[in-house]
Amino acid sequence: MYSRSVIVTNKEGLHARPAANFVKRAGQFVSKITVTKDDRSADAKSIVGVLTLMANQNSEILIAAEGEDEKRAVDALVEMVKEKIG
Amino acid sequence: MIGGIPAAPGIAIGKAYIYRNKEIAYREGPLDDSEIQNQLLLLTDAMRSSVDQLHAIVDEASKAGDGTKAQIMETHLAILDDVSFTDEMKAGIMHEHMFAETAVRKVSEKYEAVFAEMDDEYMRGRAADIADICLRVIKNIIGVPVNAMGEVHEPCVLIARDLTPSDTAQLDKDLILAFCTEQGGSTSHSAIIAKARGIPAVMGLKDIATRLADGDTVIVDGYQGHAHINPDAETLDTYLRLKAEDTKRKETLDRNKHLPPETRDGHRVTLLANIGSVEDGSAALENGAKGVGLFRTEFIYMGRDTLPTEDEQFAIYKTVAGMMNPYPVSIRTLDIGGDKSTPCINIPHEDNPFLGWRAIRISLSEKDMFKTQIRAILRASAYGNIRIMYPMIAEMTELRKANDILRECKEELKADHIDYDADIEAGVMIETPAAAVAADILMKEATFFSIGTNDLTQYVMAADRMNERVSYLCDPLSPSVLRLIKHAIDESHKENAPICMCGEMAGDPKMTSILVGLGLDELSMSASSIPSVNDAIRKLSFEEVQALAIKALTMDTAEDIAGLLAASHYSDAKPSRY
Repeated sequence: MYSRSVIVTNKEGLHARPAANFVKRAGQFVSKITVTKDDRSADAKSIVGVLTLMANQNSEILIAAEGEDEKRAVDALVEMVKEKIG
Repeated sequence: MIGGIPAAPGIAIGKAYIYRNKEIAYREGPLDDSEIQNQLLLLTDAMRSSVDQLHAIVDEASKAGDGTKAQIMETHLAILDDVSFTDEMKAGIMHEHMFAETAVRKVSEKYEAVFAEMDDEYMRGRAADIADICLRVIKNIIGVPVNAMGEVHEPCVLIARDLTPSDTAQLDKDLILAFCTEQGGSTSHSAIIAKARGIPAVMGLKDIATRLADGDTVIVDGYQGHAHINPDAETLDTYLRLKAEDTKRKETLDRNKHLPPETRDGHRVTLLANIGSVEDGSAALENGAKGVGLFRTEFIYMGRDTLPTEDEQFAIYKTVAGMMNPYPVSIRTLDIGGDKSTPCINIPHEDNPFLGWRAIRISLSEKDMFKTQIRAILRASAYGNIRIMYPMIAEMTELRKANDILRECKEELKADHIDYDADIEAGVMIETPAAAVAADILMKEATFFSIGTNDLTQYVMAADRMNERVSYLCDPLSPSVLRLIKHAIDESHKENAPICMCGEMAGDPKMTSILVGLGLDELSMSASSIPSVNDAIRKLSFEEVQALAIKALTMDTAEDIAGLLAASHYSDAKPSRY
């Protein structure tokens, strides 16, 4: 298990297109990945789950992964959020 | 006869087709263990069919250049592709022994509730997407047609409780002679689309969907807002005759649409078009428009996650300016908020969005975004006759701030040696009562006015035009509204500035006599209304309608004024009197 927190910087938050890109990236790893905001967690590979987190701009999220590529997965997703997802 | 709200003009006679979401019989479990595998297969097959259908819609929309529709359907595809979402459906079958359709409904309801509770207009809207996708899957499981319109094979009159703007946009004009709905009003987006597409429509018809059956004969009178169910021979005869006259009248209008909009005594009015896209621009020219009185730029911003860039906007404005040149194009800066939102601008939830953060209020606080739009407009102004129009101005300070930003952008372009029209006109939309009352003050720093009657009326009357219970108050003929219009016209004429009207009222030939009489110089409307307004103007005497307007301003109620207009001998110019 490996986890890191990060602040959502892009204006739209983890919604719509950015959320879809985030989920797509998460899907490229084999580990089980979760995103937690406040007291809610969602499967990082689920668009519906990620959307329901309501991670707006400036909210802090925790990305955690468990599995063979857990460190790579978390680091990649954290970088992605830091780089405003794109 | 049932009375409703006339939403789009025209007469149609045909068989009723009732568009309803057919009741789906959800089977109650629990399933036998032996059935589980079957239900899982049904679900997977239905998912696959849904994905195929959505891909087909995306392809078709992309081919037709409808990016908004394609993007919405792509979101639907992404949700269907969500394994943890679909796994919950499978879990319902495997662990709770539910039938496939019931398992899908349960997951749908769960997520609809989650999204509906969210503190964000855009996210709340996603509840409808979830419902839409799940219903598609459910219909595929049960084997009922996914697209109810797909059952229509011969021309008919469509009857529905409600039609969304996208429903209306997808109606097949060859099959749908007209439509009637229980909800909605003449300024709803569905009505606007129906008008633009030339499909007669009546809205606000109480209980119509339950009062008739498929195959009943219906007459739809889009001029008066009437529907006749299974009419007697006499009514049918009358309407067959009216319909023939209507067709003939349209042919005459079509022939005369390029004649100048001039009264019998030689007073010229300029007819302009309201457009939202480049395509609308060609329809405007075809119908005889002498320019664009309102270019709604919000459509460039809607249905996307990122803001449109300066180059992107420049390309659109330049195309329209070039297409209309030398005629003027009034570009209204972004009017978002109120009932319009977009994912690319975060507008927090408000209890009173029409009184909240919208239009110029957003532009002035999001200065970078506003400057991008102003710079794009300025750059395009080198390629035609462009005017800038600020929406929802309430006070002089706002106009000054907007003009300061305009000046700043001009200086930047000048420093970069980029061409623009240094004398570009910048005018104010008269939409708030505050702006109308202070017209003399605003005229000091605006070069023209344009009256937006839909908003002005709802703000003057303090009545939400989308609220059926109070929409009776939203009558632009109300003495209070007319007085404010008159005041704005007078103040603008004192400074020899032209004044335009670009609300729905401007496109209603029943209103032409009073609008010309009040002294409006320009009328801007949907392209399809131009021929009939042109025809109405050509039948008027300016001297007589000026007297008519003076008389109207002394009357007590909107009904009295409507009566005066109907009784005047210009009534033969009105389609509502055939």
